[in-house]
Amino acid sequence: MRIVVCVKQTYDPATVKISRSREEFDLRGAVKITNPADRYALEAALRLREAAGGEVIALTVGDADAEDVGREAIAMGADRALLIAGPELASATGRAVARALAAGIGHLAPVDLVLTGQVAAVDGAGGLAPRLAAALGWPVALDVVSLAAAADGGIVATAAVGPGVGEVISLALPAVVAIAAGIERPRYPQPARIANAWAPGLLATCTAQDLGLTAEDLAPDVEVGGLVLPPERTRGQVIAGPLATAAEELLAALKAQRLISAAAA
Amino acid sequence: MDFTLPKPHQLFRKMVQEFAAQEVLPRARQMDRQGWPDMELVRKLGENGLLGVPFAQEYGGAGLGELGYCLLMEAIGAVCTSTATIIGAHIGIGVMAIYLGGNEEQKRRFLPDLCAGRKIAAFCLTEPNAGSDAASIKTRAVRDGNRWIISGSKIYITNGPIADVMTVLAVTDPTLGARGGVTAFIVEKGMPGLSVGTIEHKLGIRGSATSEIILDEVAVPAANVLGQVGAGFITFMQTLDTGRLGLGAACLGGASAALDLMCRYAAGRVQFGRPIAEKQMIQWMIADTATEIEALRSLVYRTAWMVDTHQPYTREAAMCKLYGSEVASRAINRAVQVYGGLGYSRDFTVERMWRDARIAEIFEGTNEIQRIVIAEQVMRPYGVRVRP
Repeated sequence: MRIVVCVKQTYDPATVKISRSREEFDLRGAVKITNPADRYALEAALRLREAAGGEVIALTVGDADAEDVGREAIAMGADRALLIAGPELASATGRAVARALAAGIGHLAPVDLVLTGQVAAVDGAGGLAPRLAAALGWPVALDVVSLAAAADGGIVATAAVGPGVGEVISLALPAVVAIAAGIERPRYPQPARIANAWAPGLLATCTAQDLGLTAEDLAPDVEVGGLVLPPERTRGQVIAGPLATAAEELLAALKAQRLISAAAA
Repeated sequence: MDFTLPKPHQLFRKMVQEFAAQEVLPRARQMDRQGWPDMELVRKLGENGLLGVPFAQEYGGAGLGELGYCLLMEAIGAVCTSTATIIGAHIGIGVMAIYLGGNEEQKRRFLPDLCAGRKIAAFCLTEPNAGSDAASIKTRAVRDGNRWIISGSKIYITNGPIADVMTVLAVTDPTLGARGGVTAFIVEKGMPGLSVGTIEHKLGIRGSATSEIILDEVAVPAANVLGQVGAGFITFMQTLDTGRLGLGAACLGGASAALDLMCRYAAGRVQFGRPIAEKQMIQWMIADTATEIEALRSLVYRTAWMVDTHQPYTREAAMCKLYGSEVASRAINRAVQVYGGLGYSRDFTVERMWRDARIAEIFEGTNEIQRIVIAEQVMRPYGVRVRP
């Protein structure tokens, strides 16, 4: 089975600050990482390969820095990686990324299964897998928490449909599956694989043009109109006075703000 | 000049920091309280390739060199000195002695299991009457045909109770002295006559196991002579050189963690209506600590680069150990001071760090010995002979 795992480089949300004065993200000091959910997708692919054999290829789209994500996937266990790179791809929106990935998957044919992370850490969107499935014309399963090869040559996926509730889906291949974070924690890359991940021949690079994509294919389908900042935290309210009256006052304040119900009081 | 880490080492640092946060930190307090290593953690270190980081891949290592080893020790030293000590005794001196002094057959026989953590190593040098004066060891090995019979006792052996493979220094020819008369042996768990003696109850690094190792007429095959007969002292001294560097890296981690803790606490602790971080007395402690850490970091990583590029590094490695241990002790002592009464409570990490830091000024060559090593190296061109 040839499995392609889509991995993307993103900013570690913990290192991204918001500049209130300029109403924009402050990326000075921001650290680039592999999108955390994509590491879960890679883990699922590696487990599938361990159980059913085959090959795992990491596929990423971005600027030249995105090579690090492909190398990290190799260190974790991917057999090889393909980077579709170009300055225009660093800021590509969802549709363009899906088209570029679909072209990459075509380039890597024959591919049996494509895995993606369910959500992107930065925007919390889960748009890639459906878009990719539409572009490829393949079936898709979303929010998948476990994955196994089926006897009929397809796969069986369990999708989360509610807390603790799963739906078992049989998929014929080829298919696209979005893996939800949280079940099989991604393995640590082996140090020896880290040392070897930059060896020649493991990661191929191509441009969107190499894959036959046009400027129109990559045109943005989303325009960011502005940033809505969360309200600034206000100072807490200090209730002074003797304990008995202060407690009464506190209860009244909590009730007034509907933080507790009248019955609880 | 380029101070950027190579790409694989950048990724390795990220991996080991993640491992330290997820696997080591949650166990650190319990290891200290129980006074014994968490063997599940030791197994995980091995499974994840962290017990063979500097060694060549052909022997089962990761091939990340001394630079990789220092990144490992810095990251682990930042969260748990006991775990750093277990790794240091294993990689830094135990396995390193075989890697530096062993012949090809010995490296192929022992290193893969040691790098994978299927076996744990210890380095057996110190004796009751031979600490800093390592050349005056009394453990004796006598040739008996195709084997050697070793008798004696070693003390303060880190990993002693959990070790499967021990590198042991013994006198083979009392007439020749340290250079020529002392030989290193690879002694394996299960050899008749080998036993674990008294377990030490320590002030700090309580999560590492330290014991006496007793050798009562242990028969060791000649194939387990580490390198050449008579070359043991040189092998052990070379091993200690690289071990010192790793210890300096662990101290760098500990000092950095102390700085982080004291900054966080000072920013949140309000006295006289303002955070104590706004007091100049606190700021000076933080500024001094940050400066010393930067100097130490430069020293440690430059020395790692010297090792990996095959330059002489005895002087620099001794400086890493000396300066590292003193920077860490000062940083952690200041962190306790910033925490005030809380820093004296077992409920806070800085209390454990304070107890853990003290040993670094003592073991792997006391700081007095390091100063002798450095003075010897510095003053040699002036024709001054420095002797202990």
